[in-house]
Amino acid sequence: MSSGLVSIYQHVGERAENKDFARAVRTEIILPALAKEEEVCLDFAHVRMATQSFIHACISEAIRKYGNAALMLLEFRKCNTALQAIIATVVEYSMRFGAGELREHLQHNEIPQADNLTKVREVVRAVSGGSTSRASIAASTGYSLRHVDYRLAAARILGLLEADAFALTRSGYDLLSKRPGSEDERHCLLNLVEESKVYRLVVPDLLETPPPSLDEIARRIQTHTTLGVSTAIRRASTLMSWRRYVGSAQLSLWPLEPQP
Amino acid sequence: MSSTVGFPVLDGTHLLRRYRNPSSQVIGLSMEANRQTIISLPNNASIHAMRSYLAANEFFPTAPSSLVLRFNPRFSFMQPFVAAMLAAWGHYWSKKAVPIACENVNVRGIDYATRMRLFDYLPEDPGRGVREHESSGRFIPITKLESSDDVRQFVTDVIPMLHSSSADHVDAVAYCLSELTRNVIEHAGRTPAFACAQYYERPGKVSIGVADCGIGVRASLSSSYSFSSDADAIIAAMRPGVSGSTPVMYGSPENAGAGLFFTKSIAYLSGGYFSLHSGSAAYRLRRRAANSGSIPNIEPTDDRHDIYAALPYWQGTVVAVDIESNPSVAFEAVMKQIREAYAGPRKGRPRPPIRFT
Repeated sequence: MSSGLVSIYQHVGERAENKDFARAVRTEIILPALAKEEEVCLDFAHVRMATQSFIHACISEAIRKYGNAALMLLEFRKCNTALQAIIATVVEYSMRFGAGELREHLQHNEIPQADNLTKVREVVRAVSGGSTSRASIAASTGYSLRHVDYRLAAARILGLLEADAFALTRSGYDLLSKRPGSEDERHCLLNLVEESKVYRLVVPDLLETPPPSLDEIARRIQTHTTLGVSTAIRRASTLMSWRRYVGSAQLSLWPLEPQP
Repeated sequence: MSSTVGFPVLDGTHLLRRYRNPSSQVIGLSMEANRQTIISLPNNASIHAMRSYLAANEFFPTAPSSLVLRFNPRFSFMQPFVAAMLAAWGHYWSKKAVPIACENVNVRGIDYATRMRLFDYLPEDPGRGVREHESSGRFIPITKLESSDDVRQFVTDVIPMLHSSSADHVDAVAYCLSELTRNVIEHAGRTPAFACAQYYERPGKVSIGVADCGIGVRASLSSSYSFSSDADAIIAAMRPGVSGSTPVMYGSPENAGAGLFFTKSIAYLSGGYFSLHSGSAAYRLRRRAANSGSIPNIEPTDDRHDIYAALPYWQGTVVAVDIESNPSVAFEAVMKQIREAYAGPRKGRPRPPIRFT
């Protein structure tokens, strides 16, 4: 993983207020780096002060778009207390009002339909075993083609499989390394849910207590897609199923899904 | 005959215009009155007296033939926001080729206006041969800013000119000047910002004024919000997250809509005043009471304040900020307290920490 280092002082001096520079850092360094999961270090050594506008122009879009992943990839070096407070403020409102409000349009296959994450894992396992088609996955797992499609889509939503290929991602291999039904597996899936686009854009509060209602989730789904009411409600129930699985260590409470 | 305080009346002189068709035949006549409007300044044009000063003057009359800026005949004192207002106003009408005359320019106290370079924007030379004091240390004369580059250079130049008792105070002033002047460049339409500041050794404060004759707050937010009044618009503008760029809270990559909130909060926490005037309304934040909280209020109307509505229309926006030099309030503490205003009970799983190294 490569890293980028930006010396703020070198470009704007001890008072960082130049939004043109902040914009350039955002568009030319931070967003491209985060898209490739690369780290960026913003070095604030010798910087006395930065306006909220400067920090916002620099990092807000990245926080809103990438959420927790942005927090893990962005490093803020040698910030004095005032700078830390401003950065924390921008992070706070960007996270809180961020992804769910962007009104970005989602494709239908970016809203999951597969309730049962255990069966999604099985599809991933089938691919890791050499299945390179829907039919071979169906044969391997015993699932209907329709349900294979649902679970393939879910696997891609969670970043377990490559978007356009029957191949595992690093996250997919990581999941399969965890014992099925274990706390490690649950924790792994929890992280993947939180990093998924549907979570960040539609239900960033899915894991909160209390969670949004089914109707509220369905309403948000409709805001981001062209799905009808009944379909949106069905997809909302899938997201709530995911919440129940990743949010609880008691897998015995997992609701049984009708067999294909 | 010209009008007295504020209200234009028809002069005895009437102009006849002859309208001709393409064949140069006179097809009509119209009578236009010679409308002269007088702007009268009180002897104390300060944030304390802003209501009476704003209510008494029609700065933007309809189709004036000429304008008069009448300084108080006994004494002229003005805070920076008034100087910035008048500079913006003078520049506006000069561009429209409306003649402006100044009266009582020999009054005591007028040297201040000269040193602040107000007359650079008014077609009047007091002719007093005023020796401009070295501005370093006490004031920043009115500066016209028309671009991001101008703002950047202005903030850079301003810092050494401020002679405050503490670096924290300078940081707070620089912060506010940057936010306010950038607001004009980004939101007021193609119009310059006029900015100035004054350090008052007693009581140890810096007063800032930033004014423009642009589209005003209500119009600036109108692409994303609809308000029934200028008062509603300026109240909303001071809430963090409200920006004309988008109706989504904090939603634009460029603008958080939080600059005015931060600026007001700095004034509040330092124990100073703040005012925002646009269109026909103005909001004035009163000084923080001794027993009031140390966390700024998100809702502007939760602060001790005044709202003035139905004022004569100001085309554009004027912001006044007083930042007290309070040694017990460090700039970093101010930023932390503003941060607290944003934090609230947050449910759900903890996020990864911000990587401060």
